[in-house]
Amino acid sequence: MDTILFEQLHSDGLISDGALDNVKTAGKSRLFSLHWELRTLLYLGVLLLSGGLGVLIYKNIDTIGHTAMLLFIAMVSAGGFIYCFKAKLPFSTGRVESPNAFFDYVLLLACLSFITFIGYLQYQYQFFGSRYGLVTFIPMLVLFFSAYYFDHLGILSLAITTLCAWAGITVTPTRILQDNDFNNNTIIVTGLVLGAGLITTGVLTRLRGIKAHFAFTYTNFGMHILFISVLAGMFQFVTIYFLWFFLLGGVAFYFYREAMRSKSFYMMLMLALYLYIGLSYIVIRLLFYTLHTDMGGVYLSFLYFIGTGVGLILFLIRMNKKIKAA
Amino acid sequence: MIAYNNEWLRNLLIRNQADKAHETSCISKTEKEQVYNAYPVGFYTPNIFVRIGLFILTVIIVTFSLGLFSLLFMEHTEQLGILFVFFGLLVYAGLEMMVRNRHYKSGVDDALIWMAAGNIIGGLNATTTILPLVNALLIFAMALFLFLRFTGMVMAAIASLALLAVIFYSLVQLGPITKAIMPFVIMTASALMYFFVQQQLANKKWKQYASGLQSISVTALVCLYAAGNYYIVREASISMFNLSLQPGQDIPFGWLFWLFTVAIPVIYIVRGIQKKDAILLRVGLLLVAAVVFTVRFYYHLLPAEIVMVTGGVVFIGIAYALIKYLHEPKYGFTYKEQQHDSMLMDKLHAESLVIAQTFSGPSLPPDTGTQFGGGTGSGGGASSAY
Repeated sequence: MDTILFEQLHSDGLISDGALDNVKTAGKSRLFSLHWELRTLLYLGVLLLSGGLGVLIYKNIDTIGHTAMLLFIAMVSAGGFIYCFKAKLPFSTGRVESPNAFFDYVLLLACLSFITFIGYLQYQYQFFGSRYGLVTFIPMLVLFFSAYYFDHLGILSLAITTLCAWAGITVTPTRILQDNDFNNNTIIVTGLVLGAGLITTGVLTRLRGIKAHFAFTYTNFGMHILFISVLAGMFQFVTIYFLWFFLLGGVAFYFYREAMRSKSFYMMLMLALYLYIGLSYIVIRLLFYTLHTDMGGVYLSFLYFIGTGVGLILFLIRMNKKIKAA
Repeated sequence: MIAYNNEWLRNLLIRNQADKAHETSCISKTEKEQVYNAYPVGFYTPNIFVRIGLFILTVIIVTFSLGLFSLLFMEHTEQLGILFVFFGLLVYAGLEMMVRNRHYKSGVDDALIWMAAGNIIGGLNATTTILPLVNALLIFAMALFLFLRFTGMVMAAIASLALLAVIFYSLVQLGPITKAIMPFVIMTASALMYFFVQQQLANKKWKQYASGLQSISVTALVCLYAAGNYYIVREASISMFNLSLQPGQDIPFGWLFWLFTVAIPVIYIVRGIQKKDAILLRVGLLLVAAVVFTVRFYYHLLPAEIVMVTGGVVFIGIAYALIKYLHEPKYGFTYKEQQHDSMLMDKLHAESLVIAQTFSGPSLPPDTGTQFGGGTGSGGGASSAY
């Protein structure tokens, strides 16, 4: 902080003597925080270690023997979980802080090695036979349990992605559009059910007050899955696309109310963009497939994008004001 | 020179100081509000999400306007490039207008800066073939102007990169000697740029440019390292200067570049800790990764997984030791989080998203279908909810 500035503010009578002293002492004993550097380092450490162990196992499978390998992974996982059970603060349905800086990462390592353990068990011994679903289902249960029991948002996100994997879709943030074949009807229905389920869970989480701070994570995953599934449905079932558009409008309206309630600019932006994609699809479809316009259609579509772009900007600016005032 | 209202910019800096003082609970809320009232700011600067939205929409509007504009005038001209340049100038006029309309970092001005510069440079290149040197000069002039007028960080970085490119391309033409000393020239230029910027950062006159100057510092530090990095020098000499190496042969002064490759990040980190300079420290830490990749590219000392496991253990160990050590602040360092850093991270639960992204859960064998049937009980719930 700039002490000269605060002296100026002080002589203008804007801040009190005590405040000026505070600023001066704070300026003298200015601490340099290494918080994010160290957290990143820890995180990278866990990433490298769990990744490296995976490759190590894969490469040395012939020499070490499967049982030894399994035992080793199980020990890493069990050790981590034992530490967490011992170190954790008492469970509560509210937010529980982690007891120390490493707790979160030890838990992460324990959960990740548990996933490796189950996968390895199935890969090598066909432990679950042909019930492949169990390979994701069991880790999912453990992840959900750990997320709630130890209060870990990262693990909750992992649990949700595992739930989706179990249901058959990939929801990793950057891979949600690449890895899923949204031309497949089952996946669209799965996405709809899953999205709605996650959003409902989010609402229940908030209303019942069971780990209320988990609500955003549920709602966020649910929102994207639901919107993308509805849009995919619209592109897929072209004959009844306007019905899907109504559904899209309904979802968007729900999130509009949600955004207003929780004062979330993020949600407002997302619903506006998803709705805009749906609307633009319909307009382009009408112009080129239904009305068969050629050059005129091109001009019209350009005008449409310019006009709606300006409109949407005005809408966002107005909503911004409205949320702030709310 | 700055397009934005200068008084408001000054007041904004004062407000930011008051915010920081309030966050560290040096001043009370009413005092903060008093400062706010005494130093009004009339800019339209929405929060980050609205800013992103406005950015995307502005890009859409300008792109389709360009399309419409080209369609209208295409028949009258052969030179599409000139159209682009003209359109870029129009965008620039729009930018000035929006800025006069109180937009400051609103997403609209951010997008228009990019679109104006892109159209003008792209249009000129579409009109004739331009030498790389001239292009670098053009980009430098354009980015420097936009930086000075709109104080953006990205334009500052582009301007400094373009300046180095100008030096590079003008020396390349001179002959074999300048080619041989090129790494040293670029390193010296980057170092000079860094020290020049450090000097200017202390100057009160350039307060409004502080973030831009910091972004130039980062660029200069990275370029200084890159110009001396063994991998880059070797590969650039082979591909750009047609250096032919026999298998097992080293580049001239190979040992010197190895020294640079390893020593520079260490110097950055040490100086960063000594001076408590976050930029030096963070750039240094990032460049450690570059050291590892460079060494591993030429010497397969250990298999990758061993490096990963030992690296992981070492990282966790260092972090563990330092967090324990800095539990109580020592020598002005602390592990405690500074408040203003955490605000945005918290909003999106950024860390949990990173975890979900990098560690994907177990993958299913491909032959399993979805386990969900079509309409179970929860499916019915979905439709009734809306």
